[in-house]
Amino acid sequence: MWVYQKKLEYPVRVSGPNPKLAKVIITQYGGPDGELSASLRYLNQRYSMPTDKAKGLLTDIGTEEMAHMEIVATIFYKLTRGVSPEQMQAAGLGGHYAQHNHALFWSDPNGVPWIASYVQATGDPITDLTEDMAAEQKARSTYEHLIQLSDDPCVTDVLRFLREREVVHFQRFGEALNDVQNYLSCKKVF
Amino acid sequence: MHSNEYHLTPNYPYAPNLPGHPNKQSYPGGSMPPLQLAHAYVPWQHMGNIFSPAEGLARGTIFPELLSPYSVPKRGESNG
Ligand SMILES: [Fe+2]
Repeated sequence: MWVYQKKLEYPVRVSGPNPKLAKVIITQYGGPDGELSASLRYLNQRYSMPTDKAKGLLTDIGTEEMAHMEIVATIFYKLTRGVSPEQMQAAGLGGHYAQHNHALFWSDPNGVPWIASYVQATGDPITDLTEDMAAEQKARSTYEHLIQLSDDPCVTDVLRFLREREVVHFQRFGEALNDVQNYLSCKKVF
Repeated sequence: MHSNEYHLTPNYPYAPNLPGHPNKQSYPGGSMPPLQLAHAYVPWQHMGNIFSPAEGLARGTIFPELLSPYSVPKRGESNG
């Protein structure tokens, strides 16, 4: 189970409405390397991990990714709040407005909806942890692209926080891979 | 690299991220199996100095050695 805290992991401020920026940031909500993919991947893979430590790590990081999804949702919501349908259209969010009004939806900037095939669970802990390390790098790269695209310093500040978390997660998954490889090689000997 | 060299240093190399602790074993417990080809490894992190909670929140980590801020490449520069 989870315990919900009614606050964001990192506060979100925006300088003002900015549907153009919102359009690209949605990729970290429902794009291939976004926070929905990350959280579901880790929370699902944890069952087939061989050690309690690896299970616990996937639970912790998967939970944090849910908190990141909430941060990204808040950014999109604030950047599009009060924006007229015409302004949404002009920023390339006409399709989003037609289908979702100002609601959130898991898609990438091109409107492609989130699909489960963005993630994998092979049941092989080495394969899955290696995917998780790749996923962290893909998320880091995406945040760097978004930082380059951002013209709102308040949003950039949040993107920098989220990017740094991916660096930390990569280190933790790497340590889990060391651990699991060691565990599996010990199991072979005895 | 010669395969023999692996047997001369069966443990992980000392943690590269702890300049203050050059003699610290890099694997908890001291002995890590030899590095193997076709395996991926990440250096172990050790508890060292940490940022204050407020600074950790602002930076995205409480660990100075994990901090790697991103600087936007200048126009025309490739980021590959
Ligand atoms: Fe992450």
